[in-house]
Amino acid sequence: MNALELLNVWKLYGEVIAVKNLSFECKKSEFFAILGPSGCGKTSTLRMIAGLEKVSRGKILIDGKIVNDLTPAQRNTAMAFENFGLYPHMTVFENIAYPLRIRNFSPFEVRQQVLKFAKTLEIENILTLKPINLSEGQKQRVSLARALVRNPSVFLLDEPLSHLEVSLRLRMRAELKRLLHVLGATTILVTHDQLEALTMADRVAVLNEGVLQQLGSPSDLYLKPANLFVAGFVGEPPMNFFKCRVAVREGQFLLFGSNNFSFSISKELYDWLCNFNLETYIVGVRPNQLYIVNDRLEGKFKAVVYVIEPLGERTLISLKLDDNLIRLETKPYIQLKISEEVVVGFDEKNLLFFNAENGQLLLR
Amino acid sequence: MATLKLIDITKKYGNVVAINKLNLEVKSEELLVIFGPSGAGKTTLLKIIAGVEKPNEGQIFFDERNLNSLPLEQRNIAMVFENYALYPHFTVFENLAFPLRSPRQVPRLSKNEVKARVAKIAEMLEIQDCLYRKPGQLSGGQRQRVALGRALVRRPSLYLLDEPIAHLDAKLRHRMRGELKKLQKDMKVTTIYATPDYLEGLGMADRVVFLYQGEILQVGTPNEIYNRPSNVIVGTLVGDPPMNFFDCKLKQIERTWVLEILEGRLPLPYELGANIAKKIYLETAGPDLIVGIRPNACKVENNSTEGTFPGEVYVSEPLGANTILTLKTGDAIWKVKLEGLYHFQVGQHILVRIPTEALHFFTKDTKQRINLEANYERS
Repeated sequence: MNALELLNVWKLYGEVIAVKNLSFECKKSEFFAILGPSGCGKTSTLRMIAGLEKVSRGKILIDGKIVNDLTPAQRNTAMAFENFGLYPHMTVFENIAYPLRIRNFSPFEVRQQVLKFAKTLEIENILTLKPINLSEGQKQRVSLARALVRNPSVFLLDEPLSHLEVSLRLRMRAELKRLLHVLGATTILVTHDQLEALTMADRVAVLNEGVLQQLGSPSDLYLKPANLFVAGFVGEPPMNFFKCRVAVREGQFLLFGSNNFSFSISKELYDWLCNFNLETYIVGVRPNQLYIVNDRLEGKFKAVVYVIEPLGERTLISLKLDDNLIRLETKPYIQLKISEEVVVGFDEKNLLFFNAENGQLLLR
Repeated sequence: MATLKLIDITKKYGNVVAINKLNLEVKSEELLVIFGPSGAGKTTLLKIIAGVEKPNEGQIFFDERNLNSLPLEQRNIAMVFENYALYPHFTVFENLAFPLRSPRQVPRLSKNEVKARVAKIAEMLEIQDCLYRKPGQLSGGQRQRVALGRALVRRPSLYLLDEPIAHLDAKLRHRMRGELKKLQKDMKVTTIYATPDYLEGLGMADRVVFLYQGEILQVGTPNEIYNRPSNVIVGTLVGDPPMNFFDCKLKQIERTWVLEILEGRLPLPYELGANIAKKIYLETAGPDLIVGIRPNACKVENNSTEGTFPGEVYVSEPLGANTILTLKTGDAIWKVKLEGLYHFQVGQHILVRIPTEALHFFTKDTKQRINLEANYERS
């Protein structure tokens, strides 16, 4: 049985469609992320699951039961708070015990449950402390224990890390992933940060303008983005795109761009592209799949260095190609100057092709 | 040559020392990034240079001229602060054109020249479509770009930019970083840029000033900051994920110098070991030191050999082009960044090589970098 299931769910605010015909299911103990830019409908979706918004059309099932008409309290979901929301006047033990006490668990059961969670989360030695004496990491553990101690069917996280400072965020991200794995909690994470979704979730649903764009594992999204939106949204720095047509000139198979920019391709690739019978294609290539070559024969096209950004472990180079900027990622210490002409190479296996009319990925 | 000099600048708010005896020289036409976590004193420092705040002690010189008593409107400095103040009753166009219509704008610009300059900057900042809207109708990111545009439309002697792209979404921030750097190189106006984002710090700067609790910990090129962090704090705050640090001991076993690290032993090349030993035994009179290693310098290995260490996979995070592993070895939690996508199970035991040539050494007590002889230093 799925812990959570959405069946053709819509959310309308008057005329405005916030969520359009969304369906997905989430297995028990799965870490599921809903990713998208602001206004994509991800928060509306989360609020409908929690019962804070009414579903306009469609069904939401938790543990196999339709919950459309249940109040938030009846749904057995738990939600995380951005600032952890611990009760400052209670000890760690009492904070964790609170959800059980208000549900009339016996003192014995309360003690047993709290100790069990404290052991799993390795916070047994701080049970008598108050929140003010805890580190951020400890607060996160206590707040998780409190949310999960009553065994909710679904745990909902709304941008849980976005308010933290960068270095703390990185640590907490790994920590949170670890803890939820150890606890086996079914988790729905809502975020606009593609790194957060990719690094933490087992599966990710990408939303844009209320419509599901792709549902897949993090590596699916990165390696086989279903369309131009996902390709541009997932991955940093973003993927480069060129508009191209196919041609044969003097026995050479070519892809040529809008202006005087073209490069040769293999016959296999040419034949494969011709199968689609499209006038224009969008070629996508990630910055780390492009490289600078010394030998002109090995390269594919020429471009001019626009700006160079050394980022420590790698260097990001923006290149001007006709009127477009493309980005290329290399190892550090490359010696280049602004306005210098370079030859760029790539392996054509690493190119992705999209239908220029509808933006869909052409599957190889 | 327009250079800015800060001499022994101190700024206190009550008992709190925000800037402590700071000395800095900004070179003409350079893009200098003030990098540091929030609360480091970055904004205070910019405000002192702009003339918005007065330092309690110290002197500021610009072109050999003492700025201390010069009011801010005479300093010919354009600044952008994180909290953008736009004229709410003006359109975006009028906000951008305002500095160009100022009586201090010499020579006077014609209507068409003003239009052309505004259009150019608006296009670069991707706000050309909202020129006739008012600030109230813009998103936070758009407002921030208007504030930035209003500063960039002028050509002052000095730009002061305080987290000018912090509120933009990730994609746009990535692009703006490059565009701003390019613009600065084209305009050749000396620029001081404050940010807590190390990617902006390294990516844009000619030189980086690492500010921490009101003091400068390091000044250097982006490569120097990344490759030779002057102490543990710089190593922690520059790089993603941060550098791993291990408390360890350096001992001589028979004729070999060995680091006791991660519950195991890592033999060092003799010269390197002797070099560090000389420093730590002389300066701290003990075998203790801190060793740093970047997550991307570590390699996963199949066979246990000298220089490999066991770790239990604590968390595995796929990152598109990379995989970040958090490992547990004894009580130590550390990270390894691998090129490519790999699938590791939580709880799986793996072996990781720590290459000695990628190690950074710091003293245990002061946490300062141990400077080695030139042939052991990375460029």
